[in-house]
Amino acid sequence: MKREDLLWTLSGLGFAHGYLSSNAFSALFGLGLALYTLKTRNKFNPEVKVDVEFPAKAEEMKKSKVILKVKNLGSDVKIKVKDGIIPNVRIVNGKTYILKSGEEMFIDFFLVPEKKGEYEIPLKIEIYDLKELYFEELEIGRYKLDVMPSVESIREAAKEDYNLKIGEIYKRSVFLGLETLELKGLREYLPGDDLRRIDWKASSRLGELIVREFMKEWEGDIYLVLDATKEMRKGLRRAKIDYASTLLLHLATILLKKNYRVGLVIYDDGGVKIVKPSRGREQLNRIRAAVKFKPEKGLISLRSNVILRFSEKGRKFMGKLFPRKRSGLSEALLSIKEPSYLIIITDLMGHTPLLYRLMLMLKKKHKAVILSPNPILFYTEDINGETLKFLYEKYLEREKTVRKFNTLVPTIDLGPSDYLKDIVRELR
Amino acid sequence: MIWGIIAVIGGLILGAKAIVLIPLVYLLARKSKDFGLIAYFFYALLLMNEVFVEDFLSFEAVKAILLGVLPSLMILKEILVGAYKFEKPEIKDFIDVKVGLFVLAILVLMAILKLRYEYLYTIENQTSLVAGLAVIFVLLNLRKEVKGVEMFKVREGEI
Repeated sequence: MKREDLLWTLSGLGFAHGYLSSNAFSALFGLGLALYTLKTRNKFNPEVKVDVEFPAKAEEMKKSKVILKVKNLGSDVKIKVKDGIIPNVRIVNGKTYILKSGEEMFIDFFLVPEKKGEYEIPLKIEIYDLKELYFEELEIGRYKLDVMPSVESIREAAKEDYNLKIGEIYKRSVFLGLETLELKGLREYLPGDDLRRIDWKASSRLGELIVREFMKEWEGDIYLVLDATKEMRKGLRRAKIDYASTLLLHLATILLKKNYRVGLVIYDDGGVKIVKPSRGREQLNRIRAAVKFKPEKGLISLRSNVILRFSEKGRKFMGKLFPRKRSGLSEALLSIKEPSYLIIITDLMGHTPLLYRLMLMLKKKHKAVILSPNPILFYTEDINGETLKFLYEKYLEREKTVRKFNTLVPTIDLGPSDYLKDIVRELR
Repeated sequence: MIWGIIAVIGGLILGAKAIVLIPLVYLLARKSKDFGLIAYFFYALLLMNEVFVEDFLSFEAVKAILLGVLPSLMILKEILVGAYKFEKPEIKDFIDVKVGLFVLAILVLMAILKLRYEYLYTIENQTSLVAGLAVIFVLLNLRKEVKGVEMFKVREGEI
């Protein structure tokens, strides 16, 4: 319903009430309101002349200023630059300006491109009357903007690439154990190997790239960290938790066979379960006993933002309303004293901001890798055009989250068809 | 806000309890214009139900217009415009020849009806006459197409 319609309705009700209850006052009120609304409508005459100063180039995630010179040739209006015209370019400082009849004003605002590339930006302004009952949209013109990648994004991409490579290595090789300086031998270079390992002398001698392999130290403990929050337990036929727990047990079996000390941390919404690291068949039984879950009813929610929902003030307020103990997960992970290897299995849907902060801290001390079942690939409901579009959007959102985590630690995205055999075979 | 106070005093004189809603209208309008409009809607309905005028051409009617209708319309203006301060309005802003002629025409018709055909001068007929003429006048004057702002679509603070 439009604001104007509410007023016309009220006016009509005035007349009807006046007739039905034999009251002239209602009719007078209805008449007054009708004339007032009519006057406001007829007075609204949006006519502006706009000159634009537009930047030709911009840098990714940096503000670039646009200046509009607006002259009001019509009635008094409020002017606002329209935001959200094209994805990936935000408009900052899109304030509203009041422009009286005949007045001229410079309006400046900022464009913040979120991705590099070439954009054609259709600049639009919205013109409202002072009472905000009516508006008009005016397209000023289309302007080209070349967005260069920023230094930070290049740096981040390099880091991400590095971690992706490490992720590949984790997949391909015996992936645990700190290396000592003791040389084990030489082997030919494989894609993904660290360039610093190349033995240049041997390479020149043999005419192909040769890398040095070092002895591995088999001492660090390995912690398998399993996310058992509500989201992981949802799903009818293929809950992510089934997949994740099978993966976890496979990993545990192989690692224990290789005589590692393996521990287990399972966290859910309520708290955290810890199995201390140890060796041997008994440990496998302990881990098996610990991996038990209650299935959760309900549809999978596909939120995976790292952004915190509440403002700082809001969170403080909520914290006072619902006092919470320090989260079990951070307590459990931060209390691991020796530098260890963490294999974290999570869909990155529950406690994601917390996990992100934790990874920031933990990566300094431990080595970690995240194996993440992708919730979109586990979606089992019927798919039609609308859900497909929704899933695609969520997929993109998740890609962003995974990339964010990838800048911290190697994050490997898994689907139900990447089945365990492959992963386990790789790990062997 | 000043018109709010005037409306409260006017309402007290007219004996309308609807004035208790006036502070609520202002408060809600501060939160969101749309909430303010909805509160105003109910205020107006209550006011129409409480103030009673029998004759268009009477002192009662003039009193009701000055103490009831005018302040109420000004409240509407205040909640719609918000905190923006207008410059002192000039007299020509208030004068609209068409509207003036239309109101004059209504008054003349009423007077003729009252003096010549008194048996037709009932409240229902007065109301019908005003409503009919108002509808014709509004339809004739809706000249151009303009886009209306949807309720609850514009977030407060955006404009």
